[in-house]
Amino acid sequence: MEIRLNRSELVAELVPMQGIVERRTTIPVLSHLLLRAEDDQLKIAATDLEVSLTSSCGGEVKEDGAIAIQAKKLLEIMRAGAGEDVTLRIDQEGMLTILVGQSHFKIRGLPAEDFPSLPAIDAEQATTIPFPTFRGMVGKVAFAISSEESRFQLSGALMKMGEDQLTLVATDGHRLALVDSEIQGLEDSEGVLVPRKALHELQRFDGDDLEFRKGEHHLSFSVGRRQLICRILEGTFPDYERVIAKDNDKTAQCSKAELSGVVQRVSLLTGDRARAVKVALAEEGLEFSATNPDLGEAREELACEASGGTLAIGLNPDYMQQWLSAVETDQVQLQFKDENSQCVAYPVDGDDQRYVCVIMPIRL
Amino acid sequence: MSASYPPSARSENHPTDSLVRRILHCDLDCFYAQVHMRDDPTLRGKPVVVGGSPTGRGVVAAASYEARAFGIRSAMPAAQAVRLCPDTIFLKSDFSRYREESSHVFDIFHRFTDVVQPASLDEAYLDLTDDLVPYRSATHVAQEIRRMVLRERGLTLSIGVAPNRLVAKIASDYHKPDGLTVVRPHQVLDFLEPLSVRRVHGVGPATAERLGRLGVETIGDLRRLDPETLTARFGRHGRGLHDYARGIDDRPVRTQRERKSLGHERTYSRDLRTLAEMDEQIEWLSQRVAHGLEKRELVARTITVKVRYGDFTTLTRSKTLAEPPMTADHIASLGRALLRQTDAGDRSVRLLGVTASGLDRDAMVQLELFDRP
Repeated sequence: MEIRLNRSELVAELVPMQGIVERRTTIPVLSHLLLRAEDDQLKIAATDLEVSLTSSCGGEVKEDGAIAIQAKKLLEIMRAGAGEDVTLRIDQEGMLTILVGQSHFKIRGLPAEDFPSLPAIDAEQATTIPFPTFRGMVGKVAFAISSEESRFQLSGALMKMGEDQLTLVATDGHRLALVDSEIQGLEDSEGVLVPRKALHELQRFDGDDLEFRKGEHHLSFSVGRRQLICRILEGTFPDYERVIAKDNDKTAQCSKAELSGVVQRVSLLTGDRARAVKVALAEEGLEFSATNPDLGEAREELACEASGGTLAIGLNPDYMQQWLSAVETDQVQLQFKDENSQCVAYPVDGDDQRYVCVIMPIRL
Repeated sequence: MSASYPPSARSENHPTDSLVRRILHCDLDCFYAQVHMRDDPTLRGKPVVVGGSPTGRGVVAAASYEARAFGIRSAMPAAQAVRLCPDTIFLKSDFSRYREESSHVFDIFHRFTDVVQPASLDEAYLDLTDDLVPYRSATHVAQEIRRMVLRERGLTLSIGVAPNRLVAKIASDYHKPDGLTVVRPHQVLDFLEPLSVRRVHGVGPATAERLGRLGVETIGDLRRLDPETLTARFGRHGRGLHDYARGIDDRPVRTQRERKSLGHERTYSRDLRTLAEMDEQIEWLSQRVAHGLEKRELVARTITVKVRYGDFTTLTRSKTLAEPPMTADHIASLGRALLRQTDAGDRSVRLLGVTASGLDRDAMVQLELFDRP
């Protein structure tokens, strides 16, 4: 194998690969990237057996060939390299020679045959989705995905297509985020659960169009030269429409920035173990307070348009902040029923057909 | 033992006084023996011992004051008790009866305050600081408790009244049986001065012996020992001793004994062979753990599964979560996952256990959006 290519272009493709490879793995080859020189390009692949990423980088191939190289070290070398001209060459079995600028590296690799074969998606018809829209939607729900392994059916987001519409929903059992967007040309189909890691990595991609394919057990997301393939999460996603309460009769509408500021300040005095901010709704607005048994307390009022009556409810400030940072409008509306029922939050006058966050309270 | 000033006047004239706590240590006199003697008048006035049989290897659980006069003490082998007093009447202990009686007495404590910390079936600390009605002192309450327990339950108890648990405990023991000892804040040092260091919380025979070698016999001696020597010889324990010798004790009266863990385990008459039957047992154990947590208003952060294989090798696997698992189903799903980190299934299993720890009494509970599947 021998290929000449541009260092910056290669670094750009190596970076997203790092999120896929397993750092602590018992299978050494999973910390490696598969490099294959053929067809005037260097093809690169990474996998953790659940999520795989392939990409490529144009170059001048003198001799075809392939080797698996440790992902982290390769990126370090390429980042540090002085000069744009890179040659990757196998002079000796199992060793990759890297020439970059005046530097000369020889690093040990693993045979390309040891690299796991990547799942192939049956050549089904692809659905095209504007990628910036998709990426924005992922950013609006990703924070609500559960990080608990034991609740595997919540460790991903539900992706569901309707007629001219795409819906993403994520929940960790305590809060839920849902976003709908109008996308021309989509057709009704059964929802699939996309693993957290896949969505997380997709957020780093750039491009105009996403080509989405659904296989029997895998999903494929192609953006430009990059293709991410992941296993479909098995399991039944909970009945989310049921928890988006329609009968919350107490509302407060306020500025997103002000709300976020108040929550941030008051939450400085929440307890270490139970993070709860008490939110009291009155006619004049909202009062936020927090108590830390060891430290003291904090309190702040936020004038806003309130209606429907009074109540006091405990909310996790992190849940509120994560949602607020995903909201793009200036105004938000919070809807309450009582201290044991979910708070439902909407941006006011957003572009999205529907963006909603449902937060279960903390019993104080 | 007269009544103190009314609290309102006290807080005006002696502002620092509002920081002084009013703690009672209530101790039923030779409780187990007393219960038997109350119910059987023929036992009264006689040396009575509750506990193991004098012919076997049993030990004394409780001795009446008449028996104590012969030198019989708790935890002494029953055979030795017979040697000290051949007329001793030995009774088998009946814990369900003691528990029943104890709960009646504790009900009386709770008439005066909710801040009751049981130390055992026959012993409790009460913090009256926030529950004293005007013109009523802790001493009054102590007298009232003693009167009620005698009238309603026919039992005597000794009470120590003091600004903290340490001194209250020493005081309750001061005039026993059927005594009341009140130690006011300004009397604490004089009260402790002549008493043996063995009375101090945390001073057992070993510490007492080491202190003895330093010439320390009384609490007064201990107080005069310089703090450097204490810390040098006894480390952190020494700092505690330094405070205790001065009658300083900030330990709060806790309304419930703080649990460190809550668990259930089961040994099977026939080894379990399949994961399916083990899962079933894990679910059953998780139900019990979840129920126990709920009943005590606790939340747990860590779930541990214990597995004992057919050959008696035993191991545990744990998982700690950021958010406490609440329902039995959630504990069970963690339990099943932990079980799969063992060789259970490949190897047969004779015991399974599920334990919740990292317990938190914090009433703040994150509510669930969905019923757990």
